[in-house]
Amino acid sequence: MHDRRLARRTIVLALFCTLMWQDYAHAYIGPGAGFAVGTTLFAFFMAFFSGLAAIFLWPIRWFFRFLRGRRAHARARVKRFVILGLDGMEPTLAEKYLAEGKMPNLARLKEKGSYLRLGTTLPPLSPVAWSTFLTGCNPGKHNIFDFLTRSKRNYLPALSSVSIRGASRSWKVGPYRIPVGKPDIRLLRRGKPFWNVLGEHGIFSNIIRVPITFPPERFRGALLSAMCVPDLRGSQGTFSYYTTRAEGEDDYIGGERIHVKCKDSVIRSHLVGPENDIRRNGGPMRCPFEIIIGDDGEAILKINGQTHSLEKGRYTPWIRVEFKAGLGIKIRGICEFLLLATEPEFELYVTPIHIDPDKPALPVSYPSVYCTYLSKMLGSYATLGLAEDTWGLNAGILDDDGFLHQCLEADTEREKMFLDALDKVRRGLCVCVFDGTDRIQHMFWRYIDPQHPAHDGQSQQQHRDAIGELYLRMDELVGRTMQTCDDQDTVLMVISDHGFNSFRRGIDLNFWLEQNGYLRLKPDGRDKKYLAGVDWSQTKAYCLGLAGIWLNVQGREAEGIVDPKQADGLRDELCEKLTGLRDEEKETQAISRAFNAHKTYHGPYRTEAPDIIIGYNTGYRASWEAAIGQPTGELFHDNTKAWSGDHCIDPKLVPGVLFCNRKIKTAKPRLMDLGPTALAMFGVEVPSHMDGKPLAVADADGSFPSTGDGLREQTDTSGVEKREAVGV
Amino acid sequence: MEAVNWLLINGANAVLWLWGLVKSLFVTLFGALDTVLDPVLSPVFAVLNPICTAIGDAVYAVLGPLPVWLGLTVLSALTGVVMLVAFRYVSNQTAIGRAKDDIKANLLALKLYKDELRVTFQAQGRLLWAVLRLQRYVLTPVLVMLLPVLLGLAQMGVRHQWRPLHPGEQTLIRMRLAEDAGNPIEVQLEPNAGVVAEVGAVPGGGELVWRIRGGKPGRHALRFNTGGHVIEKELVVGTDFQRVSAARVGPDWTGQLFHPAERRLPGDGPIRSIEITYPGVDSWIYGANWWVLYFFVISMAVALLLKPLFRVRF
Repeated sequence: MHDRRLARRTIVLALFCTLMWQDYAHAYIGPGAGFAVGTTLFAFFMAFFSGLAAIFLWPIRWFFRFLRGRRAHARARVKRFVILGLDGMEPTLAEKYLAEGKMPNLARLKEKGSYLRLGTTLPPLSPVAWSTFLTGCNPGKHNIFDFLTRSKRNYLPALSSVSIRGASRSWKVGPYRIPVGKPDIRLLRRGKPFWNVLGEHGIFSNIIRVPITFPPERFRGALLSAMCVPDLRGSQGTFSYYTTRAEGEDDYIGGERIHVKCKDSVIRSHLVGPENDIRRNGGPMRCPFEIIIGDDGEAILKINGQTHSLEKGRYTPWIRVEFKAGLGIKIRGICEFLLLATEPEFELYVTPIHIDPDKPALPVSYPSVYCTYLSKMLGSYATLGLAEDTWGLNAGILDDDGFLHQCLEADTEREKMFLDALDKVRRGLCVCVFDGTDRIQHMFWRYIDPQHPAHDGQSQQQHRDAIGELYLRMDELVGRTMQTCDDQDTVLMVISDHGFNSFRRGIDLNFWLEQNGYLRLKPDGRDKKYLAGVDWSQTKAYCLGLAGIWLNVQGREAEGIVDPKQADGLRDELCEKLTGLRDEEKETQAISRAFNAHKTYHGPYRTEAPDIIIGYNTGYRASWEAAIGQPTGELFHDNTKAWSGDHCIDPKLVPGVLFCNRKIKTAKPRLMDLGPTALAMFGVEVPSHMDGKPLAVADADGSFPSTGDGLREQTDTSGVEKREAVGV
Repeated sequence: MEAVNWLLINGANAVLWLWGLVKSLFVTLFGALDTVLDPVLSPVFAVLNPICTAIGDAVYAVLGPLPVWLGLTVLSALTGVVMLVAFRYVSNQTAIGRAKDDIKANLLALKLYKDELRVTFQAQGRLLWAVLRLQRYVLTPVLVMLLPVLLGLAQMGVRHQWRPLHPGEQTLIRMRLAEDAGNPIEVQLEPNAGVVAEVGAVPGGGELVWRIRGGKPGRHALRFNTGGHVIEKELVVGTDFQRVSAARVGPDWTGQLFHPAERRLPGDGPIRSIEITYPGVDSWIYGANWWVLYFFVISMAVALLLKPLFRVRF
């Protein structure tokens, strides 16, 4: 055996020496091998010279920064500021698990530093809250009030944070239409993120998956976008459900069913991709695939020339798919397949097709190579803003396991990115937001709320303690984060943008408006989606989205009838009537407070907000129908969907959490204070337009810096008391 | 200043001395290797060469109707495809993909975190490691392809490197003798229609040299008579494109590898090799030395273009 190995090695060595020696061979060893050798040598030289350049340029860079008066870190109280965002971590649950000793890492953080409830925003929705976090401003200054806004021209819903349009010009060549320039992607969120301000002072930031950062803005650092990054079809996530089953719905919210036929154990179908903008009247692009069903409930998937095995109940890894537009142009995406059943009917679930981070079709990071870097470093990962498919579970296509897999996978991917950023960035800002906390609580709250309409008969379910396990997992994540932040010069904050509560009953505010004479339906207008059934000539107010009610104002809405001079009076009138609205069937208050947005917010965009923001009471929220502008014939609807927890209620009922490894003297911190706090910790002056104030955070030795630098202390409420409850 | 000069001069001398040492080590090593490998590989090439030459003749017969440059282009492109497919199946594509991803990731890390010197050095270290890993994964396909590539190149070499001797054109024939051949040695070049011997044989430096002139066009067998023992060497006279064997060599495996068109000389005879100094083919595409470059560029380009189609990573 040993002799054979020796002989083999000798031959290898001899051949290798020959390769290095001979006349022709030294120049050529085949195209593949030749390229591989060539590229690796190139890479090596690139690395060597860039390293050399970095060493030589570093003092020059430092000198120029010094000359510009932006000597980074010169006045900083910390070297590194780390913010770990756990979207939707509920303080009452966190406190419960802390008291039970189930979260030792967060307990340690609390003991060593601080734990406080964190004031959220009005409305306490993630896009609003995280926009406030990153700009340090109330929503009136950043223009995000909900996931959706409405078109003033046609009342149709539109994404509030981003507008995506194709390139404005194109060349027509035969059947093709070649776009000239890039797609027009506009961030509708206003205000400057605090990391941009840090960047202007030479401080580097690494920002991972903070919501409402798409499209990514230019700044000094690296950023991976999150919420509102679309899937490849341009939607906020459209799953596909392939089945041979004849009966059932064809359309789901956030998904579609595709009927397939099985012939000789083979199923042929296609993935639906984005619209083909290259071909005139091209329609959606398709990526064909074939599934060969085996005898044992397994199957073989053939797609894009690759073969993958499918196992019932088990997701595939991320699979790269290509959509051919023509002229050699391909759009690349990634998705996962989940074989649900092969008999008696075939059922296959495919996740929304995410933008491939390796070769992104749209910019999902700044700089654009950052997403590629992460993909090369860590493998494929979810890029869709709302990566976890809540709609699939809501529609009953996915079961709890299928949904949890997506949440856990997204969190695992995120953690790798976060730990990589912590390893790379030793001076500067690191922010990473984990969404699993939000998604799992949305979908599994029914298990911890015995009064929830979807709770019955489910107490024995396998995942009844999914939320408890989630909190424990997050505590472990905090533990691993603390290990990388255990130096004296790092401030670590663990925060949530809002808390959580039960969503037992939905309120159809369009029905309420109709009942109270503010909204009129066309004769056949009931149950029509997207306000299509509303008679605008006799409608003063309408509900769309989760946040509140819009007035139909003359000169603002296309068919507005409310005199702008009377609009404020109408707002007050509606607020008065809606505040304290009761659910007589349940003998409880359904709406805690209603807010006149024009009086609550301040800033140039307050007029873009829904006119009335509703603060629902515990257990209530806008109904599913109200959210999509579908007037029904009932005010209250039991929520029997898996989406059973929510936070779009009165902000005082769902504060977030703030853990910090340093003492904090401010009694009532708000989400909007965190950006200014980071600026202050780095010795950067807080811009005057920011509404937030730096929190009084202790130095590493436990002492607090002198007051007078704008810090909010326990006694300094500076108007906060009045506004803290609504986060503005 | 003098100290600096002294340092520079002695430093340069030291480097040169070191380089000389390395070179001599290599020469010794390869010399020793040849001693070991010749008895093993020489019989192998003795079997392979006639087969390869037959295949080469067949391939060039098929390409014959095409202009030479086009034939070489087709051959290079086909070789590129074959090598690509071979690379895919012989190499560990997953591991190569991972190593390449690591290379790219660390190159991007250099760009993204350029202000962090620690990251720069860390990325360089990881980059170097990934490069070494990639080289290691490439080694297997290189070794597998090495022999077919060399055999193929040798076949192309005997067609593109030299051209036949034109009628009336002068050149030299060199016969290298074995060290123990005895001195003086009598060798007669027998008369042949393809050649006019003008001078020779002229002895010197362990070899005999003839100056000849090309005679009648065709493929001729020159016969060298050494005391009744006859050794043949092929001579090609003509103006068209055809296979030309510049040397007939003894049981030296590297010589056999690059001069495959004729049988090896017996190892126990007094003659080590017979070489005819043919003129090089005069073309910037398929001519002497350029053909290798052209072949290299075309096969590389084809491989690069078809890489996505064959889903090969390298």
